[in-house]
Amino acid sequence: MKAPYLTKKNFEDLDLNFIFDRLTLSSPYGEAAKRSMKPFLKADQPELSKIYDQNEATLDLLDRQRAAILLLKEQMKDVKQLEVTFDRIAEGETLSITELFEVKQLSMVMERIRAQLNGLHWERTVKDHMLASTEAVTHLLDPENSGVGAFYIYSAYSKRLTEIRKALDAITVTAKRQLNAAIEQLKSEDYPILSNGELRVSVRDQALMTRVKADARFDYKSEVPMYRLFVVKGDEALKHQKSLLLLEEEDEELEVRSKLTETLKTHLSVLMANTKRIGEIDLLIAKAQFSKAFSCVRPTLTESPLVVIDAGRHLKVATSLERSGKKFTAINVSLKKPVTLITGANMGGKTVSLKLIGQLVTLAQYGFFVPCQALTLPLFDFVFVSVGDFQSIDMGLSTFGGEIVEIEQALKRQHEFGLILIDELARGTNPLEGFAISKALIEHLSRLKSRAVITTHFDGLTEVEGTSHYQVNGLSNIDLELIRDKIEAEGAALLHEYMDYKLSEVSSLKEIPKEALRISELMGLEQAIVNRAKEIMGGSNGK
Amino acid sequence: MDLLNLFENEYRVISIVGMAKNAGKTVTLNHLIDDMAYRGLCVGLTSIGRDGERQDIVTKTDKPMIFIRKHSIVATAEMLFNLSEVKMAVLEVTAHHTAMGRVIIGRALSDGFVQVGGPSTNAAIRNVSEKMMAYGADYVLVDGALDRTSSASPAITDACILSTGAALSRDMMKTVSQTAYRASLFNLKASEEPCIDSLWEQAETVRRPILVDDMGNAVPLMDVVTALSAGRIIAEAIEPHTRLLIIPGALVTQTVMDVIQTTSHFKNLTWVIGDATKIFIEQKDWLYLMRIGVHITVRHAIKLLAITVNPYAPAGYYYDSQIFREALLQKVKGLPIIDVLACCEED
Repeated sequence: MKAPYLTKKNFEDLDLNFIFDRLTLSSPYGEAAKRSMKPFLKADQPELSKIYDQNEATLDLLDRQRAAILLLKEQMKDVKQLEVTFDRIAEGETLSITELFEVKQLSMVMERIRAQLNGLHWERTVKDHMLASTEAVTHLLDPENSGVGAFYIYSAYSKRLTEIRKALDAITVTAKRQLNAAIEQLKSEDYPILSNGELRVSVRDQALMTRVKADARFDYKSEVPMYRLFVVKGDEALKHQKSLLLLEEEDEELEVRSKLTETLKTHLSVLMANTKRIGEIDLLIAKAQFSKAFSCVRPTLTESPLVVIDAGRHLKVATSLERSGKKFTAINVSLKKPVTLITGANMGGKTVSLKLIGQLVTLAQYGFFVPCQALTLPLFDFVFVSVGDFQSIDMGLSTFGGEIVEIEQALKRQHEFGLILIDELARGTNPLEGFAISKALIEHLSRLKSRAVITTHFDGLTEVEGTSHYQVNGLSNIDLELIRDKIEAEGAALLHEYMDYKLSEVSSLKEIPKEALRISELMGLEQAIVNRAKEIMGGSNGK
Repeated sequence: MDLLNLFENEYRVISIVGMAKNAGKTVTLNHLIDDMAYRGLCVGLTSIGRDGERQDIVTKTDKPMIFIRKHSIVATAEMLFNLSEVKMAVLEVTAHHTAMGRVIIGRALSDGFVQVGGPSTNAAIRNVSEKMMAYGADYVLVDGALDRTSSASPAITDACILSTGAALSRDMMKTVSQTAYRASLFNLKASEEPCIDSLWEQAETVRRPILVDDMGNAVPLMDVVTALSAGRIIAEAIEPHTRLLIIPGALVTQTVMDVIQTTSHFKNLTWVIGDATKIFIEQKDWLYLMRIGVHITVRHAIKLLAITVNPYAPAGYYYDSQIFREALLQKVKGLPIIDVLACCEED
């Protein structure tokens, strides 16, 4: 089996769930379309461009015709999932009345959506997914052209049914007439009969009781303690005829239903294709709404291996920051060389920047517009990301071992063009070994055709050829003396306020800033210890 | 007196609640349907289903056949819809599910018998009632029941009719006093707590009793699993400043007895129960509880319009209709008492 573009775990590591959860679909088919979204690979580039064109056109419609698009979304809420019914039609089973009703409803909803799409010039603007007409289906299930959504087995379906029902009506009328005549006759004979043909005879009225019992025109109905209830006997022949007709009606209705189902079979492909299109349209609109809500832009696809991100945002982090009234610092970064290193202080947002790169690239390949000012990217064969804890209990491996197993999987794919993102390489080992392994790995990666981004603490890795180097600005541009009092008063949480999360490209030779020392000092670690630490550092980077 | 006149123009969704099986609920329903048909009014019909029933139980229980007229609107479960004698046009397949399939709204194409099994939640009952009115029903009749297994209640309707009859007891005075007692419960006042809406919603969601103190802090009693042991757990959790006890299910005697025997703080406490149909406490116990100062209110008050009586019992005995009605009237002053069977006779 071919290795996947992105593993399920990496999908979650990149917080893509957060993004997918924010697509609000109106129809079950939209949900299905969302579930079946696949990344576009190099061979699919023309198709992906087409998707981008459609995104753009839909966004444009959302801008110009917002009300109409929202109405379309409302209409799509009426679309019900009828897969079981479709299967039954395909297999030649006869649909029930409720199923036929649901097909009629669906067909009418499709007509309404089609009309709405026509009003939006959907075919001309988005150039795809236009619904086919289902007028024939609607007409089939609304033979009287009433335009009403209700459904029953209309007499119009069959001559025989019309005749049966006519005969039934006639029998009802005749029976009623006979009953009335009988009642009149019995009244004239002084029977205390009720207008519905019932006769209550008190058990005490023996004379009447005997008379009624002897009269063949009455049937015994029931008995309550004080009365015995009789009814006027109907015409037996008429009753028999009626029950025969009812059976015939039942037969004929079944016949009609099975014919209707057969006819529906010829329209099945249209209905099913339409549901698929509705799903695609639903998804396009949801994506457009998402793009609008998060100010996303169209990615630019390139043949060169260069990735350029201008003012990229990590949406999950940005959203949670916004909730507490803070702003996400947009990141600029270019992956010009095979390996890009990101260094910087603890808490400096290195991991967020790393994930952000992966998120933007994968989103673009999944056919999304992306949350940044501009993104240029080539289409990767795979994206690999190694963040967080890899401790795998059942394999009995240490954190580091788990990390290596994962990375090895990515390295095996050396003939493919991948995006490899590794956070805090070899963080689980002793620094000396960690440094050696990191350096060797970076050297290896720099010779591959893939692009790699690696965050690290280790000094000296930046000297490897084929790497470029970014630093988190961190606290380096802040005069600590100015904020010391504030920090003392309000605590360490305030550090985040002064942290500059921007990435700056630096020359390969520049050392990693020793912000840990600055932060320790700021947080009030005993001065003697700080001074000694500076001594041990050999004055490097110190004042 | 004419039943229909009681709510004409004022209440549009009416539930009919039977005191017991064979108390004459179906007769009352059929009578109202006849009456409305006679006046050219369009009837909508549904029933409160029971939740959590297995399908075989639902289908095997005897569902009364109700005779409806052409053009009447019915909301019933898919299975019963297909079983009904009368042919109906499908108007809507709703999203409400029952043990017998989805609830279908249909319009009768002729006169005939239907079997009705509606949804089992308050929201769904209200929703299908409104839908039937939108499809043209002038009135909606909801077949209700005094049933502890249903989470829906007749309180969701605009007004309610109570059906009672000789089926309750051979002793007429017993039937009269039980009926009068039930009618008096229907007069229970709705809770006037300012936050009752959200508290009630919370209790319904967790399906557990909730205690509220005088600072407005609500504590759900998650340990309560069965109604049987509920009393002691509730009593142990009650503190001097507990003000409100909300019970989102049936209230049985044992629970109240446990509370008053375990804690002395019950006098400051107000109980809130869903509605009067969820109270299963015998009259003598109820009188005792009221005497010692137990304060019970309901979330939804019920507007009781009338009591219908059926003086015949299926067991073969019967009461004198007039004496029965008069005895009942003595106890429930001001409420119309109607013998629906007698009405038919006098026509």
